Amino acid sequence: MDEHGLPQQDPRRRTMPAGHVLVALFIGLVVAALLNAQGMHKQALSKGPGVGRDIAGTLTAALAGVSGVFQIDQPRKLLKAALGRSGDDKLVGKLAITAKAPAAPTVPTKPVYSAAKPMSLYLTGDSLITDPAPVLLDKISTNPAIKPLGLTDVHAATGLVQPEIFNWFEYLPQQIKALKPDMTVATFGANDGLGFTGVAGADEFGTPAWLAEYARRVGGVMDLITAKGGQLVMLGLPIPRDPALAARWAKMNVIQKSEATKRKGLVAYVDLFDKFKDAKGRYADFLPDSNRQLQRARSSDGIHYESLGATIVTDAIIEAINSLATVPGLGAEPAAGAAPPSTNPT
Amino acid sequence: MLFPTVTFAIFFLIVLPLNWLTMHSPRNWQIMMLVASYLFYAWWDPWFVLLLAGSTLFNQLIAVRIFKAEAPRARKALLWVGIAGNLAFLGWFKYWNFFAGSAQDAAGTLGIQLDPGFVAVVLPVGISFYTFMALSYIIDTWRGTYEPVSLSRFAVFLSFFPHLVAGPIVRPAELIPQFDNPPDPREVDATRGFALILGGLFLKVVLASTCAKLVDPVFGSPKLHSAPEVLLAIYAYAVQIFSDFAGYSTIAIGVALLLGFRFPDNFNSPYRATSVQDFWRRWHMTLSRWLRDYLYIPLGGNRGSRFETERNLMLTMVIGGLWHGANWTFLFWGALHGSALIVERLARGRREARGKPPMAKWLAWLITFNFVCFAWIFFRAETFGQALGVIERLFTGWGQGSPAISLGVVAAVATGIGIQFLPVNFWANFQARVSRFPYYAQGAAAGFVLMVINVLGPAGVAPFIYFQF
Repeated sequence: MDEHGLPQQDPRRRTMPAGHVLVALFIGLVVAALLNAQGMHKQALSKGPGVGRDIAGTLTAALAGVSGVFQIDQPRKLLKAALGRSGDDKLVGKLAITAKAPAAPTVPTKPVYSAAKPMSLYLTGDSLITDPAPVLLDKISTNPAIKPLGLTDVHAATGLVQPEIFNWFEYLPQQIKALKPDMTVATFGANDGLGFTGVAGADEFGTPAWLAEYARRVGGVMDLITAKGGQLVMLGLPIPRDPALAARWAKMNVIQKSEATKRKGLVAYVDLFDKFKDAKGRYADFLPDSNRQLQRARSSDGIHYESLGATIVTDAIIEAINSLATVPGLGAEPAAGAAPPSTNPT
Repeated sequence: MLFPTVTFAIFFLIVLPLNWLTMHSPRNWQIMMLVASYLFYAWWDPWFVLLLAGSTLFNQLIAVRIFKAEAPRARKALLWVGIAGNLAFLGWFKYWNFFAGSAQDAAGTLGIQLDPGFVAVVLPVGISFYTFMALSYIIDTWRGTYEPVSLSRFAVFLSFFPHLVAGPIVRPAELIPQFDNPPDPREVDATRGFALILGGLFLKVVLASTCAKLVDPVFGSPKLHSAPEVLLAIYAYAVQIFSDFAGYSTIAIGVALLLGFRFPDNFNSPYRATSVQDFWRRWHMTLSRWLRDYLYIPLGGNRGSRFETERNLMLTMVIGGLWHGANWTFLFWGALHGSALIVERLARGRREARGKPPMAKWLAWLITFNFVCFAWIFFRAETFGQALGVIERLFTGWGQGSPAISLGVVAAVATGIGIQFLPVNFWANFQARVSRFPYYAQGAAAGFVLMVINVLGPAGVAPFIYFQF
C-alpha cells in the first residue's frame, strides 16, 4: 500500500506501453468476436428492427462466415457440446407450429375440480409472470383442489417473435406432454414488439404481414398448450409507462384477445391494460389498494409489477380460472379499488 | 452503459487511446474524461447527467466556501448545509416513498387515513455512491485534511466513469492526486488490468448469473421448494451477491488501471472471514472505511463507555444497512450485523479477561460464514414475510424431491466459495507470470477467455444488483 492506502504495483509484474495496451485490447476483442461469431450473429438478429440491427446483422454474418471457413468457431461449438447446449446458436428458419387450431369455436363442459380430483396448475411465460406467480401460489397454497406443478417456468426476455432466443414452440409441447396441466397460466408478448426475421413483409412491427404472422404464432401457442385437453388463462399486457411501447402492446393485446375468442371455453384472455391506468386513463405507477390507499403497483422500469400490481393480476387470474372451471374455495379478494374488474373471459 | 456489453467495449476502445493521447495536457484530458464519463452516465438516462452536474456544482460551492470561511462557526454551519443538502438529495430520490409509506402504515394502525404524497421518481443509478464521495470531499475540506481543487478536477473525480455507478467509493485524496501526476504512458500495469476485467466478468456473467437461476425462484415462492433447495439457494445468494458486486468492482479497478489510475481494493475474500468484524474488513471495504471515518468515529467510536461504543456500532451498521436500500429488511440486516459485532466484542472481552484461548479457526469460520449467509436472507427478501417464509421452509421442507438443484448451480456455489480460499499470492503470482508473455499473446489469450466466459454464462445477464443502491 502507498501513502494513500492504494495497492502498489507488484515489482515482479512487467508493464507495457499504452500503445501495446491498445493493440492487445484490440486483438483480444477481435479474437473473442471471431470465436463467438455465431452467438453474436444470433444476438444481433434479435435486436429490434432498424439500422442498428441491419449493421450488426451484416457485420456479424461476415464474422460468422470467416469464423466458419477457418474453423475458428470450433472451440465454442465443442464447449457448447460438452455443456449439452449445442442448439444455443442455432438460427430458426420458418417456424413450424405442430398443433392445429380448432375448426369451429369449441365450448367444452366446464370441468369441476375437488380435493379428490385437484386441478393441476402450470405457470409459465416471460418475466411478467415472475411477480404475480408467488402471490397466486400463496393464495392457493391452502386450497386442496389445486395442485401447482413444480417451479414457475419463467424464461425472461423471451417471446414469440424471436425463437432464436428461446423457442417456445419447441419447448411447450415437451412441457405439456410431461406435466399434463389441467390449467396453464401464461404470459407472452412483452418482448415481442419487434420485427420478424425471415418472414417476408414482417420485418417491421405492425405491418399487415407482421400482424398475420403474430396472430399465427399467438394462436399456435394457445393450441400447443391446449392440445392435450388442458385450458389456458392468457394474460394480456398491462399498459407500460413508455407511450410508444404502450401503442405496440395495445395492438398485440387485440391479437391475443381475438385468438382467445376463437378458442372459447379453452382459453380465457385477461385484459390487464386498463387495470393499470389512473382515473384519467393514463399509465399509473401508484394505484389505490383495497383500502383506497395509494400503493406502488409497477416497478421503476414502468413494465414489471410491484406487490400491489402482482395482487391485481392474481385476482384477475383467479377470476379467469373461475370462468373456465369450477374450483371450490377459489375466490378473488379485491386488491385495488381504482379500476373496475375488466377481465374478459372469452 | 453496462460493462459486460459490446456497447461498452466500443466506448472503451475509443476512450482508451484518447485518454493516453490527452494525458500530457491536464486541461484537455479533463475535458475529454468529463465528456466520456457524462456520456457513459447519460446512456441510462440523459436527465441523470443534470443531477450529477447539480451535485458537483453544489458540493464544489460548499467546499470552497468552507475552505475560505475563517470563523469555525461559519465553517460548521456550511458543513451542515452541505451534509443536509446531500442527504436531502439522496432522501428525495431514494427514501421519500419509503418514509412516506412507513408513515402511512403507522397512521393506518392508529386508524388515521394518510395520503403522504408518493412521488413517481426513478432512482438514478449510482446516486448513493457519488453522494458519499461528495460528502467525503466537503467533510475532508472542513476537517482541513484536504483542500478543494478546481471545479473541473472535482467534476472528473465525481463522475470518473469506472467508479461512477457502483464504486469503489474513492476518496478525493486517493484519486485527485493521481490526476495531478499523470501516469507514465510507457508503463501501464496492463496485465493486472486485463486479469481483473476478465476475473470480474467471470464472477458476474458465470457465477452470479448461474446462482440467480436458483435464487430467484426460491425466494420468489419458497413454499414450492424443498429444504435442500432453500438451503442451497441461501448459499447461492451469498455467492451471487459477492460475485455480482465484487465482479463490478473488479472490472472497475481493471478498467481504471488500463487508463493508468489505481483504485483501492474493495473485496478481500470476505467469505474466509473468521469473525463478523473480520468480514467487514474484507467486504465492500471502501464503504466500511467510509462509515468508520465519517460516521462511527465522529459518533465517538470506541472512545466512550461500553454502552456508547455499542450504540455507535449499532447506529453505524443500521445506517449502513439503510444505505443499501429503502426497506425495513435492509435496516434489519444492518441491525443483525451490528448485534453480531457487539456480541463478538463482549465475548472477546470475556475470553481475554478469563485468559482463555481464542476459538478454533475452523469453528470461528463456520459460525461467521453461516451467520453472514443467514443475514443475507433479509437482505435479499423484499419483505419480512418473504424472509420468514424462506426460513420456515428450511425446517418444514424436508422429505421431498429437489428438482431445482442442478449441477451448474452446485458448481457455481462451490467455485464461488472455493476461490475465497486460494493462497493470498495466487493471483499476484499468476499475473506476474502472465505479464512476461508478449502483449499480443496476452491479447489473444484474453479473447479466448472471453469466449469461455460467454459460453459458460447462461443467456441474458441481469443488471448488477448494486446499481440499485
